[in-house]
Amino acid sequence: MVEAGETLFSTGVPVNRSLFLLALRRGLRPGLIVAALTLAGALLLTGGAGSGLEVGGEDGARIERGLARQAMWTALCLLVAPAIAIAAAREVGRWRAGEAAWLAARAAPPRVIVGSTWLGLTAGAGLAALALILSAEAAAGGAAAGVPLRAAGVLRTEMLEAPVTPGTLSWSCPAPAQLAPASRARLALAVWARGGPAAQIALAVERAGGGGRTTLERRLARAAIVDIELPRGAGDFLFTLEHRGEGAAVVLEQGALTLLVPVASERLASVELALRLLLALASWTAVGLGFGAWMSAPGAALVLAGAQALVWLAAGPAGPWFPASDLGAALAWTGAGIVPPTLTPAAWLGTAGWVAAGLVIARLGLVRGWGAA
Amino acid sequence: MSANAAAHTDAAARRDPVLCARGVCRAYPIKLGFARRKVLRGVDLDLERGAVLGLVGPNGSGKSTLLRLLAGVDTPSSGNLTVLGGSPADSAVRERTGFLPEDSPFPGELSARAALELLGTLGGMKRAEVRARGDELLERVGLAEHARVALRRYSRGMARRFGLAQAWLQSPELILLDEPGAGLDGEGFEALDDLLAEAHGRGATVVLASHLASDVHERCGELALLLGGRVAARGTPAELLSQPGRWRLEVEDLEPTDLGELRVWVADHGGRVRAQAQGGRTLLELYRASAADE
Repeated sequence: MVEAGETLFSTGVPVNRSLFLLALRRGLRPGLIVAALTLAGALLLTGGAGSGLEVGGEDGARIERGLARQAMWTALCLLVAPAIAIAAAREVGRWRAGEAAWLAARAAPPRVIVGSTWLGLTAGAGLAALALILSAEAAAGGAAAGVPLRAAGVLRTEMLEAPVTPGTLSWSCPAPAQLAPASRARLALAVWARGGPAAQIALAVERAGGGGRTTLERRLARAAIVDIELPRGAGDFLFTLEHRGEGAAVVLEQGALTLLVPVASERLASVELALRLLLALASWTAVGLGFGAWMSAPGAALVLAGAQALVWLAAGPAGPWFPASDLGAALAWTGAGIVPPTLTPAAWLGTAGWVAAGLVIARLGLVRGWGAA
Repeated sequence: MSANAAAHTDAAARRDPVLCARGVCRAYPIKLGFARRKVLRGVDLDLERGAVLGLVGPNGSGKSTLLRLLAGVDTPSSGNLTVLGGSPADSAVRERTGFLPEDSPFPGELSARAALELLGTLGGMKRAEVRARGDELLERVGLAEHARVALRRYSRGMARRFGLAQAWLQSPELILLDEPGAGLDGEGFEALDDLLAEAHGRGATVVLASHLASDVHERCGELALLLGGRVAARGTPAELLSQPGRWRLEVEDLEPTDLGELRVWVADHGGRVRAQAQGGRTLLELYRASAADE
């Protein structure tokens, strides 16, 4: 019941262009985006988005930019994302409040109406995400010198034996099949005040099958992040952490060993955040439409917010299948001056599943009756 | 097909009821679903092709609910409802039905032209076809100059005229109008009458709901009175609205003294003049005369 040729990118999925554009217009909420960008500008002018951190060197500059980027993304996500999700839930409310009289009286089936509306709302979210990228990157300023890095995975997750007072701790980790030059391992170390205010450590890493060896020495006074360049070669990585002399105890924090690989630009951090936000918004708009077809718009928005809070609090290992489950972690990486990990297939598949579920629920709600929707 | 067979099929089609309602009920949950408010309580109604039916009744009698059921916007709680030979929920039926809802709830952010494009393509029309037909209808309802104005900027009367244009967009076989006269000015009523004449000319069926006798009296061939969610009476306007022995007379070219003589004559014949008022121009005649003066 749509004009011939009006399909989604020639996929055969029918879509009504006019309804798509109407939903895009409604989902974009230009007033809200202007308000968000105004806030971003105000943060920039007052220096609120900067970190005020005094860290020397390339890493310090990158962390400072990362913190500015993180602050901007956090503020914008909090402002824009809920508004877009609520707009989706409100859309069905509009239908119920009277628009059903012209929507339902037309020949187009509910799947075309629901699909076109979701596409429009999601496209609006995409444009909003693009605006967020631009404003966050404006806040972060120019690229820092040095090699930008991306968190590419966790080398070891379990707690290592601790404390090391004084003594040596050794462990091995499987190495990735392909290791780019200048890749690093990031260790999170904590210092316990026992017998002295600081700890002198020496960290070394080499390959089990032969190759290079890298070392570093550091005096740590509190919890610290230590990056060490990974040697190229064959076999597993062999790490040695030595606590030299008297001083505080040193422990490795849980989930403490992360692989960092070089990337083309640190601005990819904003792209990664935008992708996470977009997938989350695509899911939220679909589920919002679905809930909205069965309950009031405020009720649907409340259920959606509650479900998302539950995901953040208790998703556990199933987390990657839920929308925005690692948004907080990605923001934390960004704040550390590191590009967040690329999205996993589970995130994409999970989004597809939530979108499909939301649209089916919405369609069922409309088939049940527009008047009751 | 032979001419006789075609004529027979055409005659049969004209005899087939365009809509047939049997025991149609509609109730809505209230008090958090613990109670139900019955709006329609068993509507029985048939309508033949080409008829113009006025659906009259006081506020809350169920006129709008019945039209929403006929338009496929809502579904009956019980009973059988057939429109144009099928269920009102069928796409094929909705494609042949035009509906003017009560409150003009069209997307206010769109211009009249864009809204017609949206509504037409949702109805299965080609985009080029919608543009041509839409422009023609906007011209006919007097909105051609405002075709690019957002609907939210329209006055109530302009919104009503837009509603008429969209109801006629697909040249529907069944046209459902809910309070079409609400907010219309003289020119708006002229546009309504023009569109109704066009619909009558091509054999379309019209159901026009109103709580005002003036809206339906001269426009409808038949009236159905809806009271308490049921069809309480049905007949021609003359049968339902006229009262034996009561007449309305409009006279011209008489002086007030002549009127006195007329009152005497009426009294002599056993009658009584119930009302007398100064006649005059219609508002539309006034607008046109003023425009001509300018």
